[in-house]
Amino acid sequence: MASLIERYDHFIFDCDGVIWRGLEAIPGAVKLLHKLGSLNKGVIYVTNNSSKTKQCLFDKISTTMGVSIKSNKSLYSSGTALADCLKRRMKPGEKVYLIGSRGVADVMDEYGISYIGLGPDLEPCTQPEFKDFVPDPSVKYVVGAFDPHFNYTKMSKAYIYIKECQAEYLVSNLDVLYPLSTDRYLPGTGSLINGLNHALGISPTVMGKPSSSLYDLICSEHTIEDNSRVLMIGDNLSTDIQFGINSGIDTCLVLSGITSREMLIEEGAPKPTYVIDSVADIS
Amino acid sequence: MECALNGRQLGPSLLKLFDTFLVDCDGVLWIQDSAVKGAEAAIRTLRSHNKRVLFVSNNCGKTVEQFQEKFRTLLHLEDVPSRDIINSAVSTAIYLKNKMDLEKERVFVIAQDAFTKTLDSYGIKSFGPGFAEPKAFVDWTTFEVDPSVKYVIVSYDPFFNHTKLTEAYLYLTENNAELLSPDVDQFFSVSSTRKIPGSFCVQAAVSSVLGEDRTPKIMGKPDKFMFDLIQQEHGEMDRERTVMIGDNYKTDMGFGFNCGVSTALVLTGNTKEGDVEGLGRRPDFVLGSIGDIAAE
Repeated sequence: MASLIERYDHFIFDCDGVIWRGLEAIPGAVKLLHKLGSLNKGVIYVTNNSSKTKQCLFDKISTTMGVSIKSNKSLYSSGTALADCLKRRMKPGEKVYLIGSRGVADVMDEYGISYIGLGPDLEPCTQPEFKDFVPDPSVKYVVGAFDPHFNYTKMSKAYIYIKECQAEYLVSNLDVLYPLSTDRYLPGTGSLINGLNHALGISPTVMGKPSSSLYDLICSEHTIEDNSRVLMIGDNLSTDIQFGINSGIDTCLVLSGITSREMLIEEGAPKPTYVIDSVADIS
Repeated sequence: MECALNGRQLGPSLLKLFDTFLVDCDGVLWIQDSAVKGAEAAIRTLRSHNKRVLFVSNNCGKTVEQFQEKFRTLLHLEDVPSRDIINSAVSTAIYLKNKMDLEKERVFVIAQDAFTKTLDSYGIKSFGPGFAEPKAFVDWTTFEVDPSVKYVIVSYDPFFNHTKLTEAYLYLTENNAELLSPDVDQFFSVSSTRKIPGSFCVQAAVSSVLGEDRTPKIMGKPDKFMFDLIQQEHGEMDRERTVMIGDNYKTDMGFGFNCGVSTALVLTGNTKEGDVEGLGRRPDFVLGSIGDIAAE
């Protein structure tokens, strides 16, 4: 597999299930990243985990895992993709109704985007109380991202902003499960948002993987001369591999995360260019 | 299909044709806290003709006692027997009571607390309603999944949040708990101009993590299961002499179609006159209101 390193100049890594699982590095990951760095290869990290700010990712990679990275310019989360898109579109005075974590809010702050809705919210609480809810007229966008405080009240407010106020609806990602540890997964952003999407009867605009808008953003900030020399490495067929396919780049599926060998042959499953057990096999 | 708004002439026909009346409540007998005009008279008329009247509701946010209170205050009916009120919490309780090990097993409930009160009255141990503290992801690594939780119920819960979704997910996967849902309502109409997501949307969140092949067993209308339970409790019914009266096409009329009984749609609730033309399969009768049953 040494030829993979020779064949590509830029390596885009998903994080959860590829470089780390929860708080632990995947064996061999750190060694590979050091090797790529020493060969001056482009290394970019892309996570659909919207609650991580660039600083947070930087700390996890450099401090916790001990991988040296030059700056946080090579770090992308679905949160930063959202913020970048909003920044280009929003007019002064407009606000976002934000379903998201403190991490997403920090990203919004970094980009100077105004929002309401962060944190716990139980007002109104029961269905009949929604009769008197008055939407904020400056809200023109609704953002759906992982939110530990996501609840029925927020789902209903988002619904009202989208249906009654015609707010534009963007989500960070639709990953249904989040890998917590080797034995346990948890419901992710997609599962919560799915309740809202069912009510709306639409599929929202997704800013994270598998949307290629994230790749467009990466290309606008890094010099990538030849798409055929870029490799996307991830553990999730419907987000990571599909992202690579949508972006027109080669893909490498690792089996150290959410995907098992059996899932590869399921009908309609995206086909990766390569399949390996883990990133350790690359070096 | 019988004429919509001149339902008065249908009143006598319904009395002649049917012995058992399955009657929905919200949108038929009352709307929020106001009685539908003529609803009291209609029920009294049915009783005076010795008809069997059973109240069949998907509203599991009220206990049977709370329903009886509403019959008393809004319709002045003092004596509606509790066994004649079957809501989706009751049908769930009957199902569970027949299936569970009541000593060893428990039920996790995402719903309002009327639901757990109903289960409790059948000797079923359950928990879940009320506020649940949001948790950081990392706190879930040490969460111990109680192996006695073998059933999960998912419905409208004003406190539904990520914590409850995650807890349900863990019981459903690590315990392979059975997933039940009392109803499939997609929206709740809070006013004539505003709808918000209903219980189906809460279920959609749970089902999306489990995968498409794992959907809840529906304990309320329109599923025929509720009718089977009603017959279990009240005896076999002659379907040709039974009619379901309701305001919701999808749940009430769907229930009637699925059970093979006759169907009467009223226009005082969920369905308006303008909706009738666009319906697929037609109900047997369309009444302006249940009040049309009252004898002149």
